[in-house]
Amino acid sequence: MQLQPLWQIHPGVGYRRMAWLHVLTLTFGIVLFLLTPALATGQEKKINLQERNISLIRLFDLIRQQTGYTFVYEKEVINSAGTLTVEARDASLIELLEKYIKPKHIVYEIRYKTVILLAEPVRGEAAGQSSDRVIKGKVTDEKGEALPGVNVKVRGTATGTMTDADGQFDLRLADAHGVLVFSFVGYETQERNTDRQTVLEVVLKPSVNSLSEVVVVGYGTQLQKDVTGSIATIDNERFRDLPVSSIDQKIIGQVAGVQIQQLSGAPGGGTSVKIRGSGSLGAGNEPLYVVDGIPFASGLGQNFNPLIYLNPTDIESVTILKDASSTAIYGSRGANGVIMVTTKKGKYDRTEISFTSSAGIQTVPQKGRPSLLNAREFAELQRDRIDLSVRLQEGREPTLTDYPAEYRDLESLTGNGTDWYGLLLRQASIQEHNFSLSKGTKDARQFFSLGYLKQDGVLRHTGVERYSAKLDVTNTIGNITLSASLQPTFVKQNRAATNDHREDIIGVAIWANPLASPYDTEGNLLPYITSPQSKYHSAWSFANPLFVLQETRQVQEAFQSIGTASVEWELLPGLRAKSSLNTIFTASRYSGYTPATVGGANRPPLEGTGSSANSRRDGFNWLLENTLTYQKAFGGHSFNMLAGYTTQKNTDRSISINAGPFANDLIRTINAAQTISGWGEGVDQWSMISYLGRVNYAYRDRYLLTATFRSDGSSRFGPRNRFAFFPSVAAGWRISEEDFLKDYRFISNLKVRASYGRSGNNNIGNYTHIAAINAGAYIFGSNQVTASSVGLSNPILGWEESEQVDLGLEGAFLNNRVTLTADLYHRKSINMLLNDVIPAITGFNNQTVNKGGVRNRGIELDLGVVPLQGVFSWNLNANIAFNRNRILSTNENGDRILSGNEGGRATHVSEVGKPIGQFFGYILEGVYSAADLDNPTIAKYPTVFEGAPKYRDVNSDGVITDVLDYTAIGNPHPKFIYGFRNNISYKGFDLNVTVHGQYGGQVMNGLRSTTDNLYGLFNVGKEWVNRWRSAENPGDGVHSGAVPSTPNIGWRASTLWVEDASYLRISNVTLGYNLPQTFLRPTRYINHLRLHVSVQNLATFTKYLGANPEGQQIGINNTLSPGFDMTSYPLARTASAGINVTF
Amino acid sequence: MKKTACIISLIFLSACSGKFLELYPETSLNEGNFYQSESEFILLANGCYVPLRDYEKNTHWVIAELISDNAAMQHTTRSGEPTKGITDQLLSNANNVAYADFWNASYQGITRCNKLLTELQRSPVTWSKPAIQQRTAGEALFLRALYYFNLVRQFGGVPLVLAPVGSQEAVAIKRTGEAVVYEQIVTDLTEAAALLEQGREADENGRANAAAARALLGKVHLTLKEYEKAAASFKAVIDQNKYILLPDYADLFNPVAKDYRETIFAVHYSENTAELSNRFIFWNAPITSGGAITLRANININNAGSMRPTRDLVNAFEAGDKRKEASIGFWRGEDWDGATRDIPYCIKFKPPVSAPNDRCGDNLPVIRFSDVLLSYAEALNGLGETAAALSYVEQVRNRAGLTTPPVASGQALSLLIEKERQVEFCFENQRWYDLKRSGSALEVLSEHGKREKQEKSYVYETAYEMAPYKLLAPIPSEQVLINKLEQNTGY
Repeated sequence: MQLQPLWQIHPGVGYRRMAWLHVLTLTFGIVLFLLTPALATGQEKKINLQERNISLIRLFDLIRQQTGYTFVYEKEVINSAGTLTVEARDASLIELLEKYIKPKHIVYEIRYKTVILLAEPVRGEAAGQSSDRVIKGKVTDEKGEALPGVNVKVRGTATGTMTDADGQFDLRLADAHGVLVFSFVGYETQERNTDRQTVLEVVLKPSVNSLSEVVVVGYGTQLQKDVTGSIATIDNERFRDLPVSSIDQKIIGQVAGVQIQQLSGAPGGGTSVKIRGSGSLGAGNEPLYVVDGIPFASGLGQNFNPLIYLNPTDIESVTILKDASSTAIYGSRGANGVIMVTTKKGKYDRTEISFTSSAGIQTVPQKGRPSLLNAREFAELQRDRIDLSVRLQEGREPTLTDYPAEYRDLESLTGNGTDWYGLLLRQASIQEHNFSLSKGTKDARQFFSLGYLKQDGVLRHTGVERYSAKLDVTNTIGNITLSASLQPTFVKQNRAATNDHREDIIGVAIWANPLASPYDTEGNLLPYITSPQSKYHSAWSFANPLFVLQETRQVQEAFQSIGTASVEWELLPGLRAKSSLNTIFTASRYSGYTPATVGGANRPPLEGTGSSANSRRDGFNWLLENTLTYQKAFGGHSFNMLAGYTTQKNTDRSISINAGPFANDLIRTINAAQTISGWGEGVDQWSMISYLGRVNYAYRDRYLLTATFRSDGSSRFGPRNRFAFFPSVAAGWRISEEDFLKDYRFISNLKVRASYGRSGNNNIGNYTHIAAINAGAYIFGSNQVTASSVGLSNPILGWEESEQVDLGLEGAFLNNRVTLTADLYHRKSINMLLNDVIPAITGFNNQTVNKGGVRNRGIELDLGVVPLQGVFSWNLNANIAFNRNRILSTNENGDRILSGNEGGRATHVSEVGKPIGQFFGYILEGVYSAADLDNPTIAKYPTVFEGAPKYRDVNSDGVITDVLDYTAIGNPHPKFIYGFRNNISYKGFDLNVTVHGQYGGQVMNGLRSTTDNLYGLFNVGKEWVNRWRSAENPGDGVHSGAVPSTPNIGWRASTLWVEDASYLRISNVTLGYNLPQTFLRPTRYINHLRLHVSVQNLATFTKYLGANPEGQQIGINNTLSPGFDMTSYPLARTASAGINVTF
Repeated sequence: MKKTACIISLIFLSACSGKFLELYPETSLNEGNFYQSESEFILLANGCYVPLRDYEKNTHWVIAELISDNAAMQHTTRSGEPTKGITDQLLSNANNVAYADFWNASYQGITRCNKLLTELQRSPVTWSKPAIQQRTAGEALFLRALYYFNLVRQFGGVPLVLAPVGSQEAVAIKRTGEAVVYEQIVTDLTEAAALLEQGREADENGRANAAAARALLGKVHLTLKEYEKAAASFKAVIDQNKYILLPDYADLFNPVAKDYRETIFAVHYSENTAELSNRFIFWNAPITSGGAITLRANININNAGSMRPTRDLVNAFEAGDKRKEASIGFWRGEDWDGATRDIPYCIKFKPPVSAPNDRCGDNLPVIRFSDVLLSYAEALNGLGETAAALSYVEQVRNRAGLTTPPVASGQALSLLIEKERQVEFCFENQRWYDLKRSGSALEVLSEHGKREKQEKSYVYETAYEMAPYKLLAPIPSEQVLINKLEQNTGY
């Protein structure tokens, strides 16, 4: 049984839940309750009415129009009351209620500006029976606060009562085996067996799936039941204990259809977020982030996650808008979905001080660490290579003396040799401390918080630190509400070069010679490791990766402050105007220094070669928003309208200076450098003007209609295409409200919805449409002059556009114990940003144009089950999403798009009719035998040899040729992604287990050009023990033999590089304990105390041999070239413990 | 203040929206902040020379000199090097990158000229002197004509684009008849000559001037066999008395003291930067010579030996011709086949010492006074004035230290002029066009092919086979596809 609000509570007053109604009573409840008539009479406007035979609903509507009071009621009570005739002249609200409502056996309460109506308690009824026992009890919330006004009913009877101001109740039972049902708006309904009990202590939990839950949507809020789009909300409670630094990492696996990939495990490193697949060719797949109403496109920051500026502890909830009907209000930025972050605000009625603290240890799991040839196997490979060289160059059989001394005695080589990779890793600590103060009265609310995070990296000498603060103030004066907030954050990050190429720190640590030692005989770290040398062949020498890590400095320091101020004015009842100014200021500094003692691969350190790289950047983003909202209801109709006008401008300025060489490494600032080797200044600006509007209409609370539009004018668009229009429309039908379903009590809620809309992706670069003036040079005689030319402008250049149809079903069954949300969508993206080939007579050969299309369609399912409820409760939530991606067209010729780069060759191909960014390479067919070499019908390449890898002659021209014989060899897109959450609680204990993963989809391990490279320059993967060694010992037929001479194509991207990326990760296990009130009450100050222990990334199950099946090379476009893993920073496993205290 | 007012008004209105959304990059020039003054137009005019410079150093010699009987690659494999090798062996098809590059660069130049001419009309600025305005317009017209003249001589009719076009419009533009293209070239050059004449006081060494426009106009008429008009053009240049024949032919190619007395128009290079320089000597030196000729042993000469003077050319020099020494050098050493011999190479564009990297600053002449004289002779001969014509040929021969035997007929004089031009202008990208103009291309190249084939046993059967269709170059396949252009027959 739910209370049915007639009216949506206005956004900003209590956006989150109807729960505030209850919360209100906690401190002031009793006082208010007692004083209600007096207060109400004193404040109220006089009411004049003269109506005949009107329904109560109509009456409430009329009163609301005259007084602004909102009515909350239980539907059955009101419906049974029938009609009435009302006459009132200058009557007060109380007078009216007393006169007309009370006789209908309805009790009322007035709290704040809301009238709550309930059926009159049935004490008399109970008392009249010859009952044999009395049940007493108290109902509280999780924090032990009394809950007044809770409905207590005996199941299957009309017998019931309501709790009083102290949460107490008493009830006479006719039957010894009654089951009591406790219900209260905003809380989960609970049933308790009363067998042999006379005193009950009932704890109600806030309801998660309550229909009266208010969800955040673009430019406002909506009741969950009225939502017509595909929207998912995640509350703070679901991610509060997770020991990770940013909100994106916290919501991994929680929402169907949202794929959040951890591209790197580096502290402060960014994730890639894809909502409903890849819908772009040239403008990226990252969603729009909206923080407290401020939209900013973050893009993908793999080195530095832009979301790390937000302290997740300050976040109240995250809402994800997925379909076009909900994203269209964000127009040209909504095509990839919208992630809305709402931060905490002061609570209405109390002062609350809260402190949370947690600390943990991070380690690198064994799974995913590289497995390579051991010392002896490596020496054998080196000897194989030398053998080949001796035979080829000197035409004789090799002898032992041809080998370097280190490789001569194989028997002495035992064990794995140096574990270079392990050397770089450490157990790293993570700690986080947060303090917050929330203070609220009816007219003023404040929230203040301080936060500190320090996460050391599992790779030595890396880590991130964050200092954050937040101040939020809201004041109401009459019908004007003023609010302001400030949210400054400082982040410092120590980086290391990873996810980049074979010569970065992790790359070297993987292929480094296992026979060499990182230390000299005295135990000092060696700067440079020389591999054993021979005149025939030698493995690469290299800078000691641990030394490089220790000596190289890469520090990013960044400050960001979000500041907002707004004024909201209720002009007339239901009509509100709001103006707000929002600003984001960012200042950052990067400084890097590579001392002369750091060498490179085959490049010993050289004195006087130190170099530094520095950059400074500052950005300012301001946004002005003016909105007008109007709410109106009459009869069965209810309208909610929004109109808005916003302007936004962003300016980024940067300066970079690279300096070197430095004469020595003593002074590392630029002034000590001998020259400035490179410099630059950048100024980047964009601006936007937008008009937006929305109408929500509901008829009889069951037929819902939403229409939205936004018109964006952007400096990024060409002058002939400057304004873009994005409409959407959606409809919903709450079938469960229909009479024909009323009798099916197992259906708590059933809604179908459909939406269609358009949104855009404007990440097309700031000045792309403008013809640049390119500066060149010419010489007349000895007079050198600037020679300019005008680039190609594209005055019609515009956004990528996406059209989406969504069909959804929302259902709740068995008293909300089973909930299901299912969505079917079809998203077609057109006008893709494409670098197209154009006729040369234009003077140019390429131009960025809007061409091509991509389609994504899929199914998303979200299932919630509560198998157990009560003292021992169990919540289960599972989501799964299937997405299919397909390129519909490219340019007029349907040219395929090659992308990625491995040794100058493409690694990905995007073809019409296929998914975006398939892996591109040779199909490995085995190893050439001597017979193959003699067989003219078998295609070969010029440098082929016996034991060389045999590739398929894809174009059948008889010759194996790079790129020409490459073909699509794998698909990076998963068949489905899933997440699974379990929440079990017993008394104060709760256990949360989260699992997520993907099935299908592949990953290409880019380091294989090194670890599959049989030149003998590097150490190679363990599986190469089974390589071809001779005609008699041909190995497993897959792995080719040592390569006799350079150059060779034996280590090209091939099917061997493509591995299954399916994985299942136990992403979090948390055990928490909330201390019972009986312990806390004696302290008098502590209201709530929670202890928790947690393990993040407990285990990952995957067939992938690399460190991270979601790894991505840095700087590689993950739209066109996804799934290219390269020397990944490993993901840590974190074990942590924490405490949350509220005073 | 205005800005503040604008922001305030933005809160409530959209009054400033037009300006508010117009943002231009601050860190580079762009159309939004260009065309403000005279100097911007001069920068654009300078830019019109750049594609010419680039194609002359990279491609033009492949399709105007290497293709002819003057030059061949020092060595080659059976299939031929994909660009230069197949051009040399007359095996070009539509995928030959040399033609694609030449096409692209030509239209890049034409587009720059078109853009300048359009903006000159659209964006009025104050000129410090009218002469500069006239010179700027004249340069654009001259260069556009030169780009089209080379295009039409290579490909025949080409798309005639006279204003900036976008990609959508471009697809609709097809090849224009050869005659129409020539008509436009004549119009442009006539106008250019007049403008440059008016802009004479703004003349600068290295820029196009009125004499260059007239001389080129003469050559266009000559190509069209309009001898009267051609003669008039050349006579005007001669009568100007500004240009002479340098006493020493070798001085024409001295990068240290660049010539402006005989050279009417040249592509200018400098060793200052990679962009400004050419690397002719690093292509022309025998591939086997290491650093012996370039004097830069550290520089890889992988692509050297690309344009080796043929025996035909070496033998074309008469005994005592001073030009031979200035044009062809010999290096004794191991050839591609392992045999040691005197290997000829083009020495015209060899700086005394190049810059430390492969940068050379030798100019490439486009029109010299000797060209005017020989072309005037050709025109007069065409008009039947053989005796008058001969005297101009003699001037050129005398400078080379040669005497001239009496010439019996106009036809004999034609042959003499053709031969004279071959040695006078070798490696100056004239030979292919001269052969086409004289009508002897088929015969000369067939004979040349036979001799080359005798020396190179490894080449394909079809190599060096001349056919009439090969007088026109293939339209680059990419443009046939994208621009939907008609291909020349035979390809």
